[in-house]
Amino acid sequence: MTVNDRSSSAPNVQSTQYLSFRVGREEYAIDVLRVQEIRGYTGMTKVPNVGRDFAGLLNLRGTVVPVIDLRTRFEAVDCPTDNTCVIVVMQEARRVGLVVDRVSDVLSLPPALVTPPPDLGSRTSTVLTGTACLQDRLILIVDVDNLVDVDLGAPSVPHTFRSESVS
Amino acid sequence: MATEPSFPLVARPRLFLAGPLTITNVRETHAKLGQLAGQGGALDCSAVTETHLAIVQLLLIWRAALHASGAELRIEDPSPALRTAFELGGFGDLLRARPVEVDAPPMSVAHADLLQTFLDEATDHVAGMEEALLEIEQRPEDGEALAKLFREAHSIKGAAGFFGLSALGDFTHLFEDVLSRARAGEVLADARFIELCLRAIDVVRDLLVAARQGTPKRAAADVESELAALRTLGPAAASTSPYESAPDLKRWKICFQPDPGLFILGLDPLLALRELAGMGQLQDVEPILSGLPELDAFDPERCYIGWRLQLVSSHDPSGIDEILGFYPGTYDVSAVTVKSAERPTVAPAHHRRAAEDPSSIRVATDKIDKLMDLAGELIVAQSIVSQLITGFTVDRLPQLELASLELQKRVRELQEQVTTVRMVPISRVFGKIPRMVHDLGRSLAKTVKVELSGIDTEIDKSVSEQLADPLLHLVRNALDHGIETPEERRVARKSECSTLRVSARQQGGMVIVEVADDGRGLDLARIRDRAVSMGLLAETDVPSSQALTDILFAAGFSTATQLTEVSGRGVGLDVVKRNVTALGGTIRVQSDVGIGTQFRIELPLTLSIIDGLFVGVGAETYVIPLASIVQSCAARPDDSLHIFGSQEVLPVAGKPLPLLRLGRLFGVAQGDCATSQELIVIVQHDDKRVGLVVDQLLGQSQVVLKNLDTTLRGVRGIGGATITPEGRVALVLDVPCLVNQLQLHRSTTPGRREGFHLMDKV
Repeated sequence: MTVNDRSSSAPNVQSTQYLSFRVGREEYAIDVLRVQEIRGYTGMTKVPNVGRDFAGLLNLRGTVVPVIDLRTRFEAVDCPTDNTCVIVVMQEARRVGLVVDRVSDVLSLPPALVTPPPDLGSRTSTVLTGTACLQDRLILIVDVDNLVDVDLGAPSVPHTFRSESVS
Repeated sequence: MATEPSFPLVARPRLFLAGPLTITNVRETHAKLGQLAGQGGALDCSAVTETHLAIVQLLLIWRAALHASGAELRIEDPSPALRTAFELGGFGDLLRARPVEVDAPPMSVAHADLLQTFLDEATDHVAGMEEALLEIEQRPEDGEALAKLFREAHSIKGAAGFFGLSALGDFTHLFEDVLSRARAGEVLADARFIELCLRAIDVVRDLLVAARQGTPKRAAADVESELAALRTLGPAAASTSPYESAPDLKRWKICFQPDPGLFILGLDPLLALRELAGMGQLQDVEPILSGLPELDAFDPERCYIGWRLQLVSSHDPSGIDEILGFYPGTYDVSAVTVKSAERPTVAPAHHRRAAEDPSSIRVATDKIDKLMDLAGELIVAQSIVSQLITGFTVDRLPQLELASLELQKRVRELQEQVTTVRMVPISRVFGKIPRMVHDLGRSLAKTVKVELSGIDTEIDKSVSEQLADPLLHLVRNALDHGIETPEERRVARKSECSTLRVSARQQGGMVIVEVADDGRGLDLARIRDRAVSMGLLAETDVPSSQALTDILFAAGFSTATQLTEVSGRGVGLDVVKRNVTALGGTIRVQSDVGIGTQFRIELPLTLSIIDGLFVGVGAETYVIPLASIVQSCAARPDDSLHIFGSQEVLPVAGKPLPLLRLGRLFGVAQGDCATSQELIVIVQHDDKRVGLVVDQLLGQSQVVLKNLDTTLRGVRGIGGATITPEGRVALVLDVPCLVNQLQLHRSTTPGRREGFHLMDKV
């Protein structure tokens, strides 16, 4: 992981640092201060009858942390990599894991580079807070709070628990 | 804490007020104060020679207006004339430098920690005071209990002063005064004394809660009235001394609302107060400021202020009429006796107590020392293991195994020790019972003796906190409904004084709490009639007496007032049961007509660590709480029957047992069941049993329960999670939910009710 060359953007105290990662072919970025750690993608425990976005539970040194699969959340083209990992982000005292295809960079982006997101009119609009173009890269900046604020317990597909009780 | 000064460093205007300030120059003063608009400042009042209510009112208006805009009005060096006027009218706090509603100065983090400790200790002192007081009631001649009461009050007073909790300090100071007079024999420790002291303790408790929440002003109104009541205790109760027993000293409660137009008539209500003060002693002078308008709507020549106050005087009310009758406006005089101020029921006091913040815990030092020792041993054991691992050769394997075993033992000890840190004696909950019985018994005119036993039984802190409500509810029920009135008891040839036994004891991993009264017992016939009329029982059903008493806990049954009046019991017992169930416990009731009723609560010792059975389903591992497991058995798949093609039922010991396939329930591919035997874990909740079909039994061990993320709380059938020895997360099954899953199933298919009716009796 490299920190981007700061000389390319004027030394500006207003710059925010982002952690960028790939999901499918797209590159996303979140506020680096919200990241607690990055872990390998192993040993997840499935929870029955919950939404597809929910990857499972992870043991983070004794704390049970829910993990959201951003690959299904962002409906990404499935291109599995060896670099799949879990970014553990903080939401106050809560910890939530995010499954991503690979972590790429820590970027320092001055506000001038960040443009408001295009109007997509769908649920992504609350998650997506801005975009930034770095040379040929388009980076989608997403809001951690809106990203992890999903009702994990709500099943997104008809599931077995229900069919069991109705049968 | 912010390091910036709390106000900008600019020169504040400083106004000089001098000479007589009265109704004649109130408009000028009003205009003068206009200079302070928006920025605040100081008033030098050292040379004010005369004042008037209109001026006081003006300052009040300006202070409020400036305060609302973030500025402040400080009154410096008030002259004696001004000071007297303010104090007479009950505006004393206007003279204080900062009108902000905080009782304590801004505190540092260290201070906040100390305060927390103080509040915890003070809460214990309060409990101690209550205990001592109830002892005094039992044995009034016991000087030791009174001394203890005094010591506890004194401890609070001292520390309250240190933390700047002035309301608390002042109140306990007065309280202590009364107590020291009682110690000297000047005040009789009679029933009235005890009653007043108990209420004073309630006030102290409220003040502590308020201090904890950082809103010390909240309880102020209450404090005032209790203070007044306490003050009466001095002279009135000291009737043993002939000097003070002047019988014509009366207390008058006066509400005085002058007419808004009386300033222009040249009248100053402050003079009325002064005259009243000449008649006797003015107490609790409380200005009524609710009539004060906003600054814009304010006319300095109109009077917006009224008062509530008390006058202790030997004059008769005609003297008061003479004074106040002279002033246009309304007033109301009533004689006050302490009786009228008494709280009608105990319920509100108890209710307020629930607000205590339970977030910190005090731990005995020896427990912490033990923990330290264990941590040290753990480090040694760990270093042995890591030393063995560096340069490890196979021949040292036995040593490694030994070291690992040692490490395991230490970790286990550490875990057990940590669990005890969370344990608190149940006396914290039981301690509230004698007071409640005392108050309730008095209001119900029943004589009840409380016997507590097993108060040292330790219980998890969170269990103890959540046990308080159901337990006190049971006690209330016992007093209200279970125990007869003295007359009824006489007729039944029982001792007039009834006994309420509350006990706790540990039995295995459970704590058993019992509330037993020697009252009239449950009227089963009536419960039955009621249950039938409510449709809970069929006319033809012949339930056992146990099943019948269990109906008491049915939701909705509680509201049967007809029943409560006649045979007692039932108010909110469904809620009690719900609370107990939420703690993983069970509740039972047993009763003998004419002899008494006994409620028995069984609770797990701790919520966070449970014994669990690890089971394998497909590739997944789940944990079933051992407490809910009845037995495990094996069966061939073709042993089970299908009812209506869907619900599998297995005959076990001659009874049908509904089966639940965890694999199907959780969408996990389960092992091939057609060939081999199936493993069934029979679980029970509330008399209802269900067989869970699993693939493997992986062994049992203690597991530490972890809470699920809030968004996952709604997942049905899963109660929590734990960490397996391999470091993975395993889900803990929610047995009540799984069992009720079948319940739901039954109720949603009413047409099939008959078939599933069998299940009830499993």
